[in-house]
Amino acid sequence: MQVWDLLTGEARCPPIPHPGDFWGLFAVLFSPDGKLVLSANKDGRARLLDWQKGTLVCPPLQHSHEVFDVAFTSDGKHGLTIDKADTVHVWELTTGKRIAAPMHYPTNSNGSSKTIFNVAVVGDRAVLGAPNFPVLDLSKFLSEPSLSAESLQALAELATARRIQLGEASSMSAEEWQQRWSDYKPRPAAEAQ
Amino acid sequence: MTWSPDGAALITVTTGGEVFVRDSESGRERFPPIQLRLKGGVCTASDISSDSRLLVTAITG
Repeated sequence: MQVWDLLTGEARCPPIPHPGDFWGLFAVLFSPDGKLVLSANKDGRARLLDWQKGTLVCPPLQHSHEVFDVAFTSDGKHGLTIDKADTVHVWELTTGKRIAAPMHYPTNSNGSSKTIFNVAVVGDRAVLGAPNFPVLDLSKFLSEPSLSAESLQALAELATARRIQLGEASSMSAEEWQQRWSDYKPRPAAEAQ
Repeated sequence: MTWSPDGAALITVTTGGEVFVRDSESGRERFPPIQLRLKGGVCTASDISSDSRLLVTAITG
């Protein structure tokens, strides 16, 4: 993989090697700001690279099948991939973690599939290169959680086991941590209503 | 073959591993073709940055 200057034709970085066999790279895509490149690889991984440094930005995005195409959300914070099993994956690119369960798109009425090779993002929708062009609404995955500041603080403390107050973080004791969890633990749906 | 997002350039990639960048209005090549060959590989994918200044190529090999 290599990046070139379209005004001068000069290489802007050395060739960046990719793993896999001869036909290992199926797609490459610039991030919206042009600083990163997301690649779709035959070895079942998508890779987000800082092309100026030649380094990975987050862990490779692991799939069970070959990755055919990639797309960025408009803010560049999330990525979509489509694999050989006609499955769409949505990723948080700062961590390399999925933010939704993989979504399989059978392209025939009998449930079987013809391979989907492309995915593209338009606004908050993703369009798949399949018969009838299935559309995936991304807003339900990408919207901010509707939690109060207090709940977000409690979640942050639970996630880190640290007390977070006035922009500072300090360790929480096991008792405090358990008390926080006990206070925050979601109630059953019926009870909550 | 693809247009740059600003429409000012037309980019073509040959099976021989060369990239031609032409000005849309004049049709003239902006510079000599970019040679993509790496270990005998060819270009399997490419993209242009949203500001139309950068081209990324994926080369086999």
